[in-house]
Amino acid sequence: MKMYFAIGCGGSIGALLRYLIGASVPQAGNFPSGTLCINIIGCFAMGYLTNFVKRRYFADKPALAKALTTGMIGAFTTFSTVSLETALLVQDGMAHIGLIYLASSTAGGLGALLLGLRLSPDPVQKEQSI
Amino acid sequence: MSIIFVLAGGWLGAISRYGISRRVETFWRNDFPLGTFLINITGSFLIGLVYQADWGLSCQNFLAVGFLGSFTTFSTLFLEIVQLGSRKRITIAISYLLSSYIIGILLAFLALSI
Repeated sequence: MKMYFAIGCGGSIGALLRYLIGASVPQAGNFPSGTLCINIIGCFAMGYLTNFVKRRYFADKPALAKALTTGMIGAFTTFSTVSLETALLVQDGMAHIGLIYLASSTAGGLGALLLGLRLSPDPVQKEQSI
Repeated sequence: MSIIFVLAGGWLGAISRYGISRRVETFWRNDFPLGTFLINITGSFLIGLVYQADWGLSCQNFLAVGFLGSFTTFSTLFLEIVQLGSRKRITIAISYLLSSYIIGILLAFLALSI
């Protein structure tokens, strides 16, 4: 029950941050630059936090760890908006922009997540290698 | 005022995502991340319906920005893809990514044309 409540609170913060950032990123023509920025930042944070919450500090705080990753970052990033924006671009005869959007989301998301993981060394693996 | 709707929707969306993922994990034993997949494609269909419905800004903020934005996730999808990749499940990783995009967009498109 505590876990659900914590994840919900993380989700509220993530959704609010997405709303605020989405409103402040300038629209680049028909290209959904707001969602792209949000998803790339979120993928970096997800990579970084995935290793970060393995630290000993979080060992007895599983609800806090899940609230940060699954709750906050999971909610900050969004898939449904990507689908909707791409479908709208296709509907308006701009399928090529939709393809560029998907390609940049994929490359950006994957790259940012790997960078986040790299910059936040896995504490469990580090202890084992010593 | 719109912030309240985003916060409430985001709260419910994250909890629903976690609850459904947990439920799917109890019976699904395959490496394919079925929970996130089902959540993302369902959310893609529903956001198309909400976009079309024109129920006003408050409803849009609660359902589309708050609930469905928070319910579906992009970062977990890519985390799962990286985890599949590190376990050499490349075929599953690629089919997971492509099926999420293709089915998600088709369902959003379908919802827009209903």
